Amino acid sequence: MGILAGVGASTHVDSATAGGSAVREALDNLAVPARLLVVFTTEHYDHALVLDAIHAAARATPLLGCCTGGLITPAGILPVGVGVLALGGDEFEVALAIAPGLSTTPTASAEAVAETLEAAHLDPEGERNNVALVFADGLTGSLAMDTAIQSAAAVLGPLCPLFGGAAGDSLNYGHTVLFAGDRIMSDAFVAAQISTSAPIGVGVHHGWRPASRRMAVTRSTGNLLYELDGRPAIAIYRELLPEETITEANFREISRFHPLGFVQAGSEPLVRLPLAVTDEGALSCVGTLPGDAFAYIMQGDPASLIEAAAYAAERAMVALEGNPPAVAIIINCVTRPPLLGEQRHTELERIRAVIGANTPFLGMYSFGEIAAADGPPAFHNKTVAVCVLGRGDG
Amino acid sequence: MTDSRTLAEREQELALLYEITAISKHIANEQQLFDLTLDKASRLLNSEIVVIYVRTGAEDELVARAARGVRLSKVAATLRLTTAQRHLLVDAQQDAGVILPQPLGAKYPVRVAMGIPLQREQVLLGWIYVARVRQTVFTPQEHALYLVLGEQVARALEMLLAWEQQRQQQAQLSQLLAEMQAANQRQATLLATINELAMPILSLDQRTLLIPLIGMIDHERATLIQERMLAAISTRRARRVILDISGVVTVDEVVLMALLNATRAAELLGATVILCGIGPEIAQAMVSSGVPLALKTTHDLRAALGLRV
Repeated sequence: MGILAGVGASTHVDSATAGGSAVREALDNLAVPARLLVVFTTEHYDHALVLDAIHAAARATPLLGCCTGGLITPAGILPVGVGVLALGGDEFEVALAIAPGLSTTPTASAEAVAETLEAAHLDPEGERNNVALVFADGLTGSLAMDTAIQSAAAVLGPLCPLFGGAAGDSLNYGHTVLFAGDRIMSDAFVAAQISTSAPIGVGVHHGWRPASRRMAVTRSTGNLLYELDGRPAIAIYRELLPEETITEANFREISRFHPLGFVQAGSEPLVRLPLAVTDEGALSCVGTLPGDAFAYIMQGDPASLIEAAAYAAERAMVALEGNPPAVAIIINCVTRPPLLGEQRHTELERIRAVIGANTPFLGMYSFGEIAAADGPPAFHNKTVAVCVLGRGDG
Repeated sequence: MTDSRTLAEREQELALLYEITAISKHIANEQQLFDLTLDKASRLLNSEIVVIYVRTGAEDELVARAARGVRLSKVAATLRLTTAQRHLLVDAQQDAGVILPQPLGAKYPVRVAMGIPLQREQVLLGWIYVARVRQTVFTPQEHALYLVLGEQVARALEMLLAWEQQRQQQAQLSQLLAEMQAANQRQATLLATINELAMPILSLDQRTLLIPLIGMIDHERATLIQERMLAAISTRRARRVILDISGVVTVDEVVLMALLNATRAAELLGATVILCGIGPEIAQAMVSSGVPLALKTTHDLRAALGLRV
């Protein structure tokens, strides 16, 4: 039977109706008993009612997911809605865990989740393919995300790479939640390990290119960047972007087109999005900054971003080595659609063209993406990550 | 031989090199060095697993201190490298000869691993193990960058060790200084007690003080005698002070002068000083010193008490 998948989505305004409708559609499309549900919602719903409706239809099927900045579904990009991905078949095993305390105790939180997955012994001999779908609170935990990712990865090991994203909302920066089973939590870390004999492919790419000289990060701490080349970072932005009139108030509008990039071997630069200017003049970024590093101010355009999304899908598909894809999960940064405008639909079409027009998929717009390509896992900004599970039935 | 790398590739390689060489410039402590090293060896140079070992006191024993991609508790806690292993960098896992030590368990089917010795002037300070699970090679460029990383980390580690040694020496010196100060304090207290005991001031009646002196009297002690005697005259309103020097071994010219000065000062306060208990040797010394003696003297205490003043 291999791995099978069904996807459902609803934009109904009523929470219970949206949850029930989405899960029924997913289960109908799956056509076999579901063994794992991935649920993405937007902040417009009463999440308890959504989950109650899903559980009523899917009974005790293991479930994980989160609130997002929008849904990516076969029915299109949905700024408001509930999306459900149902996985079934006999080709995989699942373990699931959630833990609170992401922002205050990221190591303990991530290790608790990873140790629960490890204790399930889904792949004791290390002979199967594994992926840990992970979701974490992107509103409370962006500063703790790197620590949590490294802590979980250390427990699970490199044979169980992490893939997922940070929960968020429609850029209101209000409140977000994560789901595991019937639990709904904020400031939490949730993961599901999928262990299968089917191949698993992951691709991650962003399409941003250096647009400045290389600059030394001469003063930074955590997610705060104070100085580049010994000068205030915002002064460097003003110098390198003279056509813009950059103020503390409009900085976010400028920086989303010009994030920071940190060079890395074997992959694109690690992108960090500066979101605001603090009272001390530091740029507050989404995620921690590498220490003693060199940075570029980056630029991108719709063409490069769309190309990157297609490339991420291609990299994921290459890993399947010809095995047909059973399902794809897409994690896309919530700041990319405003840059792409109407071309956000083109981005999705390019991904679908790569994974196959008939391949079921579900995606979310995230507050940061979690993925490992050919190396260690990382917390990304303004990036597309694609995970594809092969069908595995020969 | 032409360089086939593009300008962008060379710019990236330079950027990597700059970032690696910056590592030893701002190191404040071991934890910061480990965090930076893990970041550079893992994220920057793209290896899933990194373990840092540092040599401890035991000769050539390396202790695991930090890890990325694997829990520290899951790697070999200590290692010893053979001479050959200290010079082996890449384990291609196909060489029948020397192989790298494997800090990881069987859970990690490593495809390629590298051991980077941290050495300064032939002294092994530590060892970094880096491993890849998905990729099968380290390119020559990556190989070279890891070697530079090793040099930078070794330099920083050496600096930290030197700082630590200096800190320990400073701590030892501070402790020594504190001990010396405490000993000096104890000695001063003891000396004060001895002086107190060596020069008791007794009130024979409401107007007469007896100061029996014993042992050696030098200039410093003579001054002390003068100070204490004058203070006692003042506070006890004495009119007569008997300085009994029968217990004094010897006095020299300087001491005689000091005693004479004390006598004059006492007179200014309205008291008369009687020097009693002069032995033959001291009497001879006093006479031969040539110091003019305007002192009342008696042979013994009884005579002093009977002397009218």
